Amino acid sequence: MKFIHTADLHLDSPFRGLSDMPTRIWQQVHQSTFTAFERIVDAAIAQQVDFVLIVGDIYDRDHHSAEAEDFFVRQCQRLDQNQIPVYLSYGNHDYQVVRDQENAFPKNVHVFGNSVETKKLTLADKQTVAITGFSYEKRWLDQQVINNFPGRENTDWQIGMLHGALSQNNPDQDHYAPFTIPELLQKNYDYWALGHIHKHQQLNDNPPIVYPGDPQGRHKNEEGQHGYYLVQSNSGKLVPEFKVVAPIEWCKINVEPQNSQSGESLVKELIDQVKVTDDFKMIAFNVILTDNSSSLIKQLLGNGTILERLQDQLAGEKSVQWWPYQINLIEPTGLPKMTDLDQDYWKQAAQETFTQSAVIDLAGKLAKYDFIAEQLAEPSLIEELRQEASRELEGERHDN
Amino acid sequence: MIIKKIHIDGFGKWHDQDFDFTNNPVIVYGANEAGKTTLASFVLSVLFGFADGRGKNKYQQYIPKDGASYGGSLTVIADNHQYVIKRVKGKNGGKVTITNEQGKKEKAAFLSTLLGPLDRELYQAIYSFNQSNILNDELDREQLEQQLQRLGAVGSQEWLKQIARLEKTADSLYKPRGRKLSLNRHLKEYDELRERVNQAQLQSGEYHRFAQEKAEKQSRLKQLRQNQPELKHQVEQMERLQRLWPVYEQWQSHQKETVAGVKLSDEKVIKVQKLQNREQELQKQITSLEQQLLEQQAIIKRFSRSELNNYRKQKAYYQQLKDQLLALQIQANGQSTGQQRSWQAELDQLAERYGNTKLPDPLSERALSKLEELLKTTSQEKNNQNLFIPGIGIVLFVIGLIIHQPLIWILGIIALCGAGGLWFKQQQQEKQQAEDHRSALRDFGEKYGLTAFPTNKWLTMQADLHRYHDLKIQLAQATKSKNDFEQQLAQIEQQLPIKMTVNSINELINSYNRWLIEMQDQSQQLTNAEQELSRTEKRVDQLKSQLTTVQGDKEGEYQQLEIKTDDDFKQLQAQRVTAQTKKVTTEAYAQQLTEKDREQLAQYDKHSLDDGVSQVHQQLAVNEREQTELETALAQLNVQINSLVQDGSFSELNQRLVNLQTIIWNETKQWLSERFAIRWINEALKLASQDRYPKILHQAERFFAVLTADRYQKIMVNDEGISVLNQQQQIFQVPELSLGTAEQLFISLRLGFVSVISDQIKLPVMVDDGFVNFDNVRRSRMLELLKRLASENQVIYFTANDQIKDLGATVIDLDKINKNKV
Repeated sequence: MKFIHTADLHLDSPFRGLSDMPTRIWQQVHQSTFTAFERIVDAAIAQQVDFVLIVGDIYDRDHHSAEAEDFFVRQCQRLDQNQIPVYLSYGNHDYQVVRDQENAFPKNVHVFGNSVETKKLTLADKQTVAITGFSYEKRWLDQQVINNFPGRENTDWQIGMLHGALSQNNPDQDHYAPFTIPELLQKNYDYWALGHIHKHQQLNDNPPIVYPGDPQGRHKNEEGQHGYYLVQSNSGKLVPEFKVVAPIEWCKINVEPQNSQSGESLVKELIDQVKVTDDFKMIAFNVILTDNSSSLIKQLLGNGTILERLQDQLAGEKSVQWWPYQINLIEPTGLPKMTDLDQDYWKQAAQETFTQSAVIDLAGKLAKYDFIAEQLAEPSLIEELRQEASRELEGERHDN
Repeated sequence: MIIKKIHIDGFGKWHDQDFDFTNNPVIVYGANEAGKTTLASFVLSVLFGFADGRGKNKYQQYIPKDGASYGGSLTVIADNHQYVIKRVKGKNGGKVTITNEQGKKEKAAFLSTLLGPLDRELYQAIYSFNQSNILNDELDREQLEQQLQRLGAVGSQEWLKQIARLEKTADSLYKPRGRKLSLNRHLKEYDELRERVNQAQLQSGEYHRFAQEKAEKQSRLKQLRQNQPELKHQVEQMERLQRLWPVYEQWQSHQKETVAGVKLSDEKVIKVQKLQNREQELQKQITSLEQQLLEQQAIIKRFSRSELNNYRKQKAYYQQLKDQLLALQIQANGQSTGQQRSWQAELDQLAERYGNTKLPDPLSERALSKLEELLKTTSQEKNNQNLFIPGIGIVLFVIGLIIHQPLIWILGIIALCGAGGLWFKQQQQEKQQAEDHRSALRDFGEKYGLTAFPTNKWLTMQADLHRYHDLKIQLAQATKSKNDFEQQLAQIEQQLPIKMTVNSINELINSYNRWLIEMQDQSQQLTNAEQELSRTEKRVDQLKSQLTTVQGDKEGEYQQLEIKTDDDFKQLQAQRVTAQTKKVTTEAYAQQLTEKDREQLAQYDKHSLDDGVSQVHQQLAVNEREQTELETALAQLNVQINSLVQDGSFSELNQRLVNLQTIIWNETKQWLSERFAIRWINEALKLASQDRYPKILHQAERFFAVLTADRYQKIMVNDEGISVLNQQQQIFQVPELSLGTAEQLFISLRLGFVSVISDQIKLPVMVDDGFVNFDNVRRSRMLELLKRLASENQVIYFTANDQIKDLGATVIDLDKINKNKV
């Protein structure tokens, strides 16, 4: 038996962390989630897989176009024409009440209901497969749904489909059907098809517990290769193999400017750092500055001039295989010397100042924006702000 | 750290100048333009670097106008060790060398161990007291209070400036109620964009609805299409039922008229018909036979004549006559005259042959035998030659020759010789015998009258003699027969039943024969007729008897059927046929109707069936109409869906929205970090102050008492701020103090801070005589204050007031130095 495991398609989801870019680049970016899934369907047909599993987050409930929905249905129809069944469950982004009513999907698409259920199928070679899964009904799912998964069925294979995250033992964070690896292993299934985490990874080897990641990384934190898992049976076991499909790769490139004293030469230096490949790259440069770096360069980097110039230059070129979306300035940070005498006070002050409640207090009505609220809730934000603030304290002294 | 000595190579107006700071406090006097500020700047420049010539420091460089070498050195004592810090012209604030007591050079970084974390600004903020960092009128009292509260931290004033700057930049980015600020504008833009996205999302919802609708319609269409054949089938069925209705009606009515009481079974009909047929047949036969009877009687009557009756009576006799005639005829034929004449002719011929003489009678058998014997003996003698023995002899001789057997050929010769002897003897005997014979013959001829004829003809003429004799008898007999015949014929002719005129017996026989045949024939016919008649009569009797039986049987059947006549039966049969026809028709109808049809039709009457038909027609029409409608609707939906699908604006708007989110978040983060920086500074300052304030106050109270000539005894800090207590135990809040007193308080607190942090860092305090508001302070008190201060830190006091000299302290008089130089 042979099947494809994918999840988190996030079709047509906007790409985060980008500012304006030329239309053709934008089109390329916009098309990438579609292309990635189309490539998966191509592979399913070429490989003549027995079925395709899609473990949630096909698209964002609140952010998807008719095009995305239409596209997905058409791809399912392609699979239908090739007699390849699709088993899909909805995740926290495309949560919905699943009813048995008519949907726009072709008949080969089997949607899991909001409660855990098991669907069975018999393959061409008479092998039987039980697939257990569920769909999100709401944005969050705090219950340990894993407890509702039944024991192993009397079939040749059993696969669990679970869109969720490893339990952090923290009620404030465990919003996505929290589970633990021993809980999964206890079910004695042959394969755990997970979804939700966008970085592909295998949590366990035998049986495989696999996050396929999103087929197309959608922001800077989803760098590296993206694709799907092709799972094949081999002497009674299911062996996953990662296949790359993402047409766009997010990269970070660290640059230590050597001799650049002018903006132009730095732009050239940055361009020289990029290795052009077939896949389109979205690039963030980390420019590492030293004490000896010229203050002009610092300034040009700091106020975004270099990025603008770089983008302008690329936008002018005929064919572009990469796009710089960000330049980060990395410089030695620390509190100003002035604080040395009062180090203990500053540290203590930092502890008392940089708190979640202070963030909320300060943000005030900014937090009414979901996207801001989400960012504000990021645990790493406090530390980031502290570093930012340190830079503020120090940086400004340079200007004086 | 204490500065012991200053050597200036060239700095501003000073060049190649030494100063020894032996006392503490160091009091430097000089009128305006005497070089106080330059000297102070030199100290700062050596410690913290030359000014870089940009911005506000542009005029702080003090590069010598006279071309003397820039820079100089300070000799300092720190931790009981002496170091010479020398700074000359160079990059980044000049080149520094530090030489220790042993004359060894320390690393450049050693400077920061001497100076701690301070830079020029911070040093000035803590240790430098001059007009620029002392309160002035413009400062509002609340800010003063704030400043005072934060005095406890290193560089508090500097930090306060930072706060002010950060607030300014933060406020330029965002204010909760702002409108034109960058982040505010972006948020507004975001709201608008999101509204548009929501509008577009509605489209997506619309798509969802359309898609849903499409799916539903497709499913409905599919259902309708699936139903359509069934409906068509129903229509066909109903129409069929409708078509069948007349048949059904017929069938039903026939069904009701199930013909009553037809007892007539097939067997019965066949039986009766058989009887009827038999009856008819019999009657027919009888009729036909009776006809025959009549005919036969007519025939019989026709033949009943005397002649025939006679014939029939005397038939045997007449036959006998015929036989007699025939016998007569045969007799007559035997005596035919022709034959008699031939016999006569032959007789004449024979007589002529032998010479018309009377011919002897033929020899008897015995005589003939004797003659033959006589004749025979003659011929035997000649023929009796035996060749047997010579034959054997020759054969033996030849064989003996052939086989060379002398015995044999000798035997042969012997045989030959024997034969020769035998033959000779025989010749002798024969001559004797021939003589005897000739005498016998002569005797014989005489006896039988044959002597007239040669001996050799005796034997041969015997046949003719016989013939001649016979012919004579025959001729005699024939004559006699002819007479008998004629006699007999006449006799017979008399007996014949009819008289016939004929010429010969043959004619007579023929005529009579004809008559006989005719009679016989007629008789036969009559007999036949008579036999036939009797047979027919018998048959008729039989038939009649049969007819009676058949009619009896028939009547029996009729009785059973309760009818009497054939007509009745015919009628009955007709009834039966009608019944059967009906039955067949019913069956024919029935064949057009299946069991199921009948069941179905039974549920309807004519009216409800018509209704049913129009109903299913309507259903089908509804189905087809709905299909058409659905197809049209689907086509429209597809157009709508396609226009939505191809409209990429939503994705674009969405991406723009997210891009804007990025911008907004970056700004938000920027703003937050600035706000946090402000909070952090405030908090750090507050913490430091809270911690140090008791000590600072302790020191400051002393300084404040000195400066105010003991008018104020106590400085207090609580949540409401700073307050002071005077001799009269009255409490004053800072805003209630005169500017001068507030300034004194400020100075006291700052000095208190310097003395408090002196356990961490001890640098010279530089006081520039610009205490404007100290005018009313006694110089003596000031000096007192400096002395107190000098117990912890080196104090360098720059003053332009020459009254200082009167106070008896050691003074470095710059005016004097300048005069000396000039």
